[in-house]
Amino acid sequence: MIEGMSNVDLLSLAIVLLALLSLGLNLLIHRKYPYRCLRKNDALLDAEKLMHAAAEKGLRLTIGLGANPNNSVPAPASLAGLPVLRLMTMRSVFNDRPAQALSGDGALASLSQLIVRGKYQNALATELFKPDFGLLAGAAPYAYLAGLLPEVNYRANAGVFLIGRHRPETLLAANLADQKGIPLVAGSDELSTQAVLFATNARLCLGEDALYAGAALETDASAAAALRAQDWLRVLAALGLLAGAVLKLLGAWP
Amino acid sequence: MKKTLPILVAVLTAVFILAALILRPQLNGWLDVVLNWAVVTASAALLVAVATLLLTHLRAILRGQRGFIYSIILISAFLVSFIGALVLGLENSAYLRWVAAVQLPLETSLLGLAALVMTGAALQIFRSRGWSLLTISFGISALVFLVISLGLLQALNIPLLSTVIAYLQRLPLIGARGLLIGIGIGALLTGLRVLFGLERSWGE
Amino acid sequence: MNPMDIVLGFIGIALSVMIFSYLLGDNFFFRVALYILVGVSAGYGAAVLLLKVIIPRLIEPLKESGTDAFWLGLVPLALCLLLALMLVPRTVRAGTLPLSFLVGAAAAVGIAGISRGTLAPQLLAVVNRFSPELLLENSAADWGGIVEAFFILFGVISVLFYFHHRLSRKGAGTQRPLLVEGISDVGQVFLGISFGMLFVGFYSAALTALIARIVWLKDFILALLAG
Repeated sequence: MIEGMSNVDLLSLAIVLLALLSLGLNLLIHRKYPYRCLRKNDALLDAEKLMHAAAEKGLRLTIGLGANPNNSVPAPASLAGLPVLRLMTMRSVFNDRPAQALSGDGALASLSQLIVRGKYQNALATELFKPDFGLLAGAAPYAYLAGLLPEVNYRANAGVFLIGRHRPETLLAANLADQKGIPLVAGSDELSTQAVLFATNARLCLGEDALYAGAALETDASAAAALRAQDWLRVLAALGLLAGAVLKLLGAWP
Repeated sequence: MKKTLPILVAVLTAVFILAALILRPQLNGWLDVVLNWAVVTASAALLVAVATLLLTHLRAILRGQRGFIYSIILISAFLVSFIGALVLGLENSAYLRWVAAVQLPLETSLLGLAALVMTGAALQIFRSRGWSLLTISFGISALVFLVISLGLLQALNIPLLSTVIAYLQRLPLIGARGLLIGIGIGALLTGLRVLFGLERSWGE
Repeated sequence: MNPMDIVLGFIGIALSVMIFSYLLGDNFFFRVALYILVGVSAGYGAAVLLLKVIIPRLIEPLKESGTDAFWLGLVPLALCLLLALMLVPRTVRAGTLPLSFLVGAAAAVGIAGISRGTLAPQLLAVVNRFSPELLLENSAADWGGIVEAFFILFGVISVLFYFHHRLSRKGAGTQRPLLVEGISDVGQVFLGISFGMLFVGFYSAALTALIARIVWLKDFILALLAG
């Protein structure tokens, strides 16, 4: 089987196996204190403070979970906002104004409804649950932005989170929040969006940080293990690049 | 059982698709079947989400909630475009022209509006993010690429300048590669967590 | 210009003006335009999915009773019916199974796509810069190319380490190891350069859209005046 495989095939297989091994080992090694000695993302720490402030003031938090460009199955990176939604819903079940989730595709909208409903059930408050706590903002990326903007400017908003797959036009939401003095925490896996939002006042999760909200908020031990695995893979990638460069220079790698 | 069944479904689906992708010729037919199920389910999820959105706005109208006028506008726009497609057909040129006449100006105007907003945003970056290696290199890079994108320097036709510009244009690829590798590893690990039943996006 | 073009043109102008009215602050007209976009997109999107996916891929196979397509069609039918139950607040949890199926499929497609489509090609692109065919010019070393290849290698590694999360156990455990901290400082510079270019790239695209809108408006008015 290996004979018919290209360099890309072999390397991708090796990456997946190494990732599996790193994740498994980190789950095992750090099962007692999963969150110890991990750098916290400032934006996500701010997010936690916002959740407390909203609960105290009886205000609402809004989270945009992003949009999938072609409304197919959601990419793993587009699930990034769900841990934040879990925590903010848990903290706002009995609030006057519960958290509001908005999505740009059907699967994410339905997942957000399931999560919110689950939190209400856990709190034995299913009668307080309303389907509009997890809504579709728009059925296409621009429509998602259009549906998001009025909710950003909602009069009782304590803060806005935009975590998941967002387009650079999300800048308009950041601008609106800034105009109204509403704090905004953002994290997207799209490079252009990160670059554009970098020029705003938004608290930003750069690079892969948005994918590890569960580790930063200390709500998901497996996310913390994945974060440690990411560090291992980072070192392995660096060593692999150095070794690959030397082998290539020596002509030992075809 | 209530909690394990969804995990089992997610894990088995993921394992099957991965196995089928590796053993492509043998399992090709079944892979197509499962991916077709996924496409149909994702489409149904969107239809359900649209229905929930409409019901929410309908309730807002019936209760006369603050801002219900927007709900009337949304539902009217939905009905016109949805019923239009059902009656005239999706390939009908008049229908397509109408949809384009609404969507195109709105989308391009939103993008154009972003340009105007960005101009102001870029000017205040040092006030909002302070002075650091990151902000300084961002500022210099944005300025340099803005000048390059105007095309005036290239028009001078100076060979040395062209070499420098070509080199400068390759420079951002370095950071982008590093970022893509980092985000790629993160997304891969998220996928593996689902595969292990550790990430339960559907659950509380 | 026929009457239809004129009507659609005026709709376009009105909607554009409504969007640009945001420059005066979030207002009624801006919101009306946004809700129209949400409504039209939802209507069009729902019609496309219904007519192009649900009917041909779900309903049609179920009409062929007793065939393989019929039996295989029962699975997505069950998944869709469970999803439909989500419309009733009391039965929202019925959507768990179809959504766990979707998340599983997404994970598998993601793992394959990311490892083969992003990670492997990006890593190989850095290593391939060291290929002797690229670094030799007429059997002599191309020092410019060699320096650039090492520069790229070092740059990519430094950006990778900018996001390193593990903190040093020494001291209060609040700082990253010194080496990582040093490399990540260099990473910041490369990151800033990339962000700067991406910012300008999007700015140019947005500016082009703005200019295109203005040009369209000018052409429409001229065509209207010309009759």
